[in-house]
Amino acid sequence: MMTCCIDYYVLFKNHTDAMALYQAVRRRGIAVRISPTPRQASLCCGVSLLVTEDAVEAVETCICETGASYERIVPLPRQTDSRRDVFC
Amino acid sequence: MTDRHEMWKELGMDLEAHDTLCAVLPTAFGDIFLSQENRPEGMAFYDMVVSDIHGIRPAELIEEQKRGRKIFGTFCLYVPDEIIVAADGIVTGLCGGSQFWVPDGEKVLPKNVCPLIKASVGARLGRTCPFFRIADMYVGETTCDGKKKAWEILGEDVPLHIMDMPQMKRVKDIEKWIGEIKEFKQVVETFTGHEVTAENLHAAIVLLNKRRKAMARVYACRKADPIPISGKDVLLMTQIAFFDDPQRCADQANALAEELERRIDAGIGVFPKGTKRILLTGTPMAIPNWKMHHIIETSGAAVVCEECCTGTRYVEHLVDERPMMMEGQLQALADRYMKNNCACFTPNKGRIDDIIRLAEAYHADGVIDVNLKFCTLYDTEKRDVKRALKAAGIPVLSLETDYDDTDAEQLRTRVEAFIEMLG
Repeated sequence: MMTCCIDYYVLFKNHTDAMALYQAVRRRGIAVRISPTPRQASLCCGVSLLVTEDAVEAVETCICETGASYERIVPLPRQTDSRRDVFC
Repeated sequence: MTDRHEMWKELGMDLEAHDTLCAVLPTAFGDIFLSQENRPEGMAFYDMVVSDIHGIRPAELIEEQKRGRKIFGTFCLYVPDEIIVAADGIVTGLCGGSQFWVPDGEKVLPKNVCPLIKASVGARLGRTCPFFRIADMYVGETTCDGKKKAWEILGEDVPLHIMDMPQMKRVKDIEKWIGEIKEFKQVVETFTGHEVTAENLHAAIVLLNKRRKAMARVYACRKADPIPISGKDVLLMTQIAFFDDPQRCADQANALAEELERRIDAGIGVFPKGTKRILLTGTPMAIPNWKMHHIIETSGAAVVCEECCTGTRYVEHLVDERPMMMEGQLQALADRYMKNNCACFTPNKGRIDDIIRLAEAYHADGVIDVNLKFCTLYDTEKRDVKRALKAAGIPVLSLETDYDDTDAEQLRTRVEAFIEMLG
């Protein structure tokens, strides 16, 4: 049986907070991406931080140490599939 | 996340229908963009913009409106942004790149109109695009029959000015085009209450040239092998430029270009060295139309250049900054805009020359000529494109598609076969 990767979405009040944490995390060399917030994570559209499972602890540490503002972290089965061919 | 529903409600949008679009965008964007590896750091800005595409920029535009500035929604590269910017107006692109908007467009347009026009009209009439709701004036042009009729619908409840495009590029046609720009200047001055002077027009020309130069710098990086950025990421940058503040657009593009230049020096690419290189030509790809780029770049090739309105036509050819008097500036604008080679002109050999020139400059292994269904101008021109490329020894594949998902597998099969044929 195939195991599904879990990704984490850090949600924010606004895009400014999202970019601030993104930059703080990237300065530490942690691989994260800016992502639209999946509907499964929130009913509101907006900017979130996509974190892979192996990086989530480092991101949480960064949040604690910098006092970065965020709303919550939502784990979800991996959402991306480059061969889905479903366009907007 | 900031709840935009109140803003959208005040704009008179259909929240329920719009919510359907908001629900699918993250999945499509994730599949197409976030599935890529080793993207440039500079793409984070563009990812942010898309993540809240109907929120961040619309909120900025509304704030500017409150300060008394006018927003002009435009559809075409021939509309000279410089005139609007000189009058302290703001230019924004409008929605038109998604199948989501097509059914609303088909309620008032024949089905055999191109999806770009159907989606644009649908986005307006369905009240599912904030940019259409915000724009104080739409600026249309007579580049095709479908658009000409669409303006009659779109102009029913929003002020709309139409620029009458020449169909040829003789001296008398260029002179006529200068007349159109002059008339447009008067319309913009009246609408904004700001006079376009030689001084503020010069500043606008310099600013928009700055944007062109910055974006062209990003494009130039794609000539390298390995390629430091994917075609779809450059397409995204270009699509967003139509909506963004020109100065911020130039700053972000310059930052991205600096990163790409460092990548080239370090031999860093997003595709393996030697990946087959495709030049795309044809009809424009309005956001969020990422279909062909995605199919090509998940079929073993890379898009290295786009000869189209969402490509080199937007970033090439600077307006001459030397004239300091109005007459010379209007001539310079007309000259620059007439260097764009759209299929609406006859004859249009300039486009074929552009395709061959760009294919050589970007070291393309092949050209894919992709046109939106029912665009008779580009569809007809593909014969000449094919013949000229064949004569130049450049392999070419002609495709026709729309915004629907249903032909994705067929397109992929044809693209894969073409790439395989490139050797």
